[in-house]
Amino acid sequence: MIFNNVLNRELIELNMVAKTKEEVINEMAGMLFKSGAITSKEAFVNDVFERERIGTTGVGMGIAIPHGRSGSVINTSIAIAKLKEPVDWDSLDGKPVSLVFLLAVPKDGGENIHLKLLSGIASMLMEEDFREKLFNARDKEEVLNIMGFTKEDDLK
Amino acid sequence: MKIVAVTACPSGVAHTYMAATALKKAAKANGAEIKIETQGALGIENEITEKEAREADAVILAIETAIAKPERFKNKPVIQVPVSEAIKDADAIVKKAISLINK
Repeated sequence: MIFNNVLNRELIELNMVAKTKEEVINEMAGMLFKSGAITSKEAFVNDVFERERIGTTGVGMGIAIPHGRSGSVINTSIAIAKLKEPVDWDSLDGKPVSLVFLLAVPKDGGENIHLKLLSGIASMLMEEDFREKLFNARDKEEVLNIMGFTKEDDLK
Repeated sequence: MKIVAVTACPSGVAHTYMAATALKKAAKANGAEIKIETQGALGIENEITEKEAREADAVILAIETAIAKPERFKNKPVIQVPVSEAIKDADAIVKKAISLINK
């Protein structure tokens, strides 16, 4: 399958140092901006926080899946960060978060194939095995593999 | 016993699909048959037909936004919860649906 630039090495950070949810989202939006997924970090971050205000994206189990459907998104993308120290996310189960998936989706929803990929990842996060593997992943290559992205896909 | 469920969240990107997976797993663990329709950014998927809605013993609506075609479920025992509740504790919701059926 071709994933274009939905996820690649640039969009993975395995040792993020951040103290708050705000810091995490800002850092990760920076990664998305650098990779060319969004046109404006500020506009994107605003839309992500808009979504956070409706309800927490800390889905429990140490995972948060913040997302923004935003006019600033050019390419549907996903950024992944593992935090050195867990941060509070007002999670459904009250636990702090150490694994964050930030989803960037164009306002109009973008291409269905990309959306399907993101919704598929969200579904997979409900599987304990998948979560375990991600929590234990030691390098970016391993994360890409677990997520089902092969080396070849990444180079396309 | 047959349960039908609809999941829908404000942006339709993540929670809708996580809740659907959680409910599916919980139904399986509790030995209940379930069909789950998602109403998200991908539109309506796995749509529950009028017939399926009619034949269902209970309806679970895990929604945080207005859904399309709610009239399918009128006169049915309905459990409505926020979509996040289904991610947090799908098991309790399915058990509640089952107890509603067995009443």
